[in-house]
Amino acid sequence: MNRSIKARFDNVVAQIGFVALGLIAPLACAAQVASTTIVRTGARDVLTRFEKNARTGRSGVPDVVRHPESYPRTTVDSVIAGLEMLAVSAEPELVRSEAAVALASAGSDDHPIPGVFEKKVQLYQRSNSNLVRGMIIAYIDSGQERTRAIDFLKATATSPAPPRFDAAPFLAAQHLSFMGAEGRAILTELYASGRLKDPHTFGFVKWFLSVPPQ
Amino acid sequence: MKISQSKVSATVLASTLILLAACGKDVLTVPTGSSKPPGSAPAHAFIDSTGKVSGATGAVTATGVTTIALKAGDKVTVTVISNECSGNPETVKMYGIISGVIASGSCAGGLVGQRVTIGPASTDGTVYFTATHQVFGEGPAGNVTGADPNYNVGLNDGYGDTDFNDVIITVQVTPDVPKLTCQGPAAPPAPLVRGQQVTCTVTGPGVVVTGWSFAGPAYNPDSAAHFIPGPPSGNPWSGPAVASGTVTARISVNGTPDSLKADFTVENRTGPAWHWQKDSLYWTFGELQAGQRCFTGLFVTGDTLNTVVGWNVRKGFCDGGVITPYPNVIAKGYTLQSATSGPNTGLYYVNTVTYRMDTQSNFLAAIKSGNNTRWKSVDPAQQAACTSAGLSASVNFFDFNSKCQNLAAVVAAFHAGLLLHEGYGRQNNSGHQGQLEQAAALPENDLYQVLEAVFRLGKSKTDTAAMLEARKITERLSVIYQDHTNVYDNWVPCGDIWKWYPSPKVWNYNPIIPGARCL
Repeated sequence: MNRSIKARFDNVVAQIGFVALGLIAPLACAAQVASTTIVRTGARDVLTRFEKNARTGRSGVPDVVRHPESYPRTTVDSVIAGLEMLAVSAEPELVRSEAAVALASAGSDDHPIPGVFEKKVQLYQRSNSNLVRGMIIAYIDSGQERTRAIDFLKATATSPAPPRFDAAPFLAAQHLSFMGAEGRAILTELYASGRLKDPHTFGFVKWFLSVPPQ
Repeated sequence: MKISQSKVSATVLASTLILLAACGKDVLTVPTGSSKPPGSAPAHAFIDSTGKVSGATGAVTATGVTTIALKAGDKVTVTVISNECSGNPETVKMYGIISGVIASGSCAGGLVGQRVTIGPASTDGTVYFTATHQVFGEGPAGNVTGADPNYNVGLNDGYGDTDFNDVIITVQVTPDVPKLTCQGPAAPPAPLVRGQQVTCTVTGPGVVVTGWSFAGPAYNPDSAAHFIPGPPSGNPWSGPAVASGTVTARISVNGTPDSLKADFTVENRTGPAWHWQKDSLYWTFGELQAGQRCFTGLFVTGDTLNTVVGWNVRKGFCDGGVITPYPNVIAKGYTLQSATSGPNTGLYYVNTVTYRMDTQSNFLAAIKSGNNTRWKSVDPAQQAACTSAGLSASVNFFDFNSKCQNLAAVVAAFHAGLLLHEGYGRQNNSGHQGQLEQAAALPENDLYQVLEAVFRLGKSKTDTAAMLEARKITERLSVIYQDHTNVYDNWVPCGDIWKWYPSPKVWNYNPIIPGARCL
């Protein structure tokens, strides 16, 4: 009997906890199917947790930027702003690069976040971390506005490298080379057009196009 | 100490009422008054407390209560907390539905502090306690105070006084309540390692399991938590342990619904299979082994698109993808396994990892000894330099520098600098391979250890999660691998060298790498 009362008390406390934390009720529990529960918290909590996890390199991409349509606009904007700040100034560099991955992956073509693509490009242009810039190159096409992302990669592969980041054109071309038939077609076009000016990039693409698709 | 009969009676009554009031309901203690006291006090003329005193002794008020009621399954823990006896040994015994010698030792030392847990009781019933002096024999049943589940019992040995403080013990009754435990193959606190069998068992009298469930956090704190419903019956619930969490058992105790919870913690697998490091199992670096097909420049002035002199690439490729197979939707460097029973049913996790970090370096064939790309200078002096060295006027880069111009040491230093640049560097990992391995050795880039911890509900989601983790590490390493921020000055001082000018077909002596930082 005491245990029953205790169990009921625990349930009440748990329910209060869920409400207090602003969590979505675990509806799936009621349905008795294996499920996952997305925890929807405020921007501050998202960023605090993100920064903590980023120190281990296992931050993931916060649901709020991957699925902005499920959150209030103010929360989305706050998280984006926070990620931007982390990507620019957090220490160590691993945290900055994790924030860059999250920011580069933000939004989707179905649910774009206004202005986010420009923020990605600005971060690439202004960051003093090659790891951050490299992560933007590697993940920019996994977020919203994929067409613009491809254009960004093409421009990066064919433009002079930014200061102190001479690997940029090669990394952009290499990323395209891992994109299957679409990437191969783009590299074929760039190579044929003579727009690849970086020797490393040129040599790599020349080799890449000489071998059959994997 | 002597206590008057009337005082004893009053105290007994009061204590009995308190006990009855405190216990009520189905409380386990049923004071029964004095039962048949085993043994009788001898009529000795001297006091009993002649020995040394241990613990917080004092006279115990007689209550008339001598037994403690137990339910089937109960266990009792008896602790000797003090003595005022002289026995050597003084022996404490327990009688009733559980019986035996509880403690024995010298009153001068060794008796106090002894503790024993005994049981469980096989049936409902009572127990009582006695103390036995080695000379005066066994005293009456001890005097019980307290309430379920904690009692004090004052014991008199056979000496015959009535202060019930020769030995004082505490008795704690632990009822056999329904309990849920989850444990691995080894008894706690041995850790439960991912993939090992976890068995969750409900125990207790009259308990029937009416349902199971599991809830636990995702491997990645930013991901969603898991809820896994279990079967509506059956006990135990067991299967491979994948994720830490809480198991809930819905139970019925003699028809009354209730629930029990138990946590279990799953630790990551460790050891060589789950940690990559520099050895032939996971990383290799082959100096001068990369294919010449990667870069085919002739090292001539003016060929601005073919000026790559040295390279370090993924083995078998000419890219800087670092990891093989490159983590994408097609190629996988891991296998998955799922838990098909138990609390983690439906969770997939990484069963094996086979990713490798094999890289190779090389430098241009055109600058190596014996290369067939030869040039004939239109400059008579340059021709003469070669012919006087016993060579044809048409020579390759290596021979012109090392033999025609007697710069063998410079060419050797150039080659060495190239290999250092692509390899481990002249100092402080100042080569590409050194930078790569330094980064790969960081915990956040330990691909094996990171993948070890990945689990999700369903194969597809787990696959995606594992691939994302592998790719992120690959991308990080790839950037660091290509970056020149810390890769320089591997040929100091950076020398000048003779380089072919196709027009006007002469060799010119220039800095090998223009600019401040060399190789």
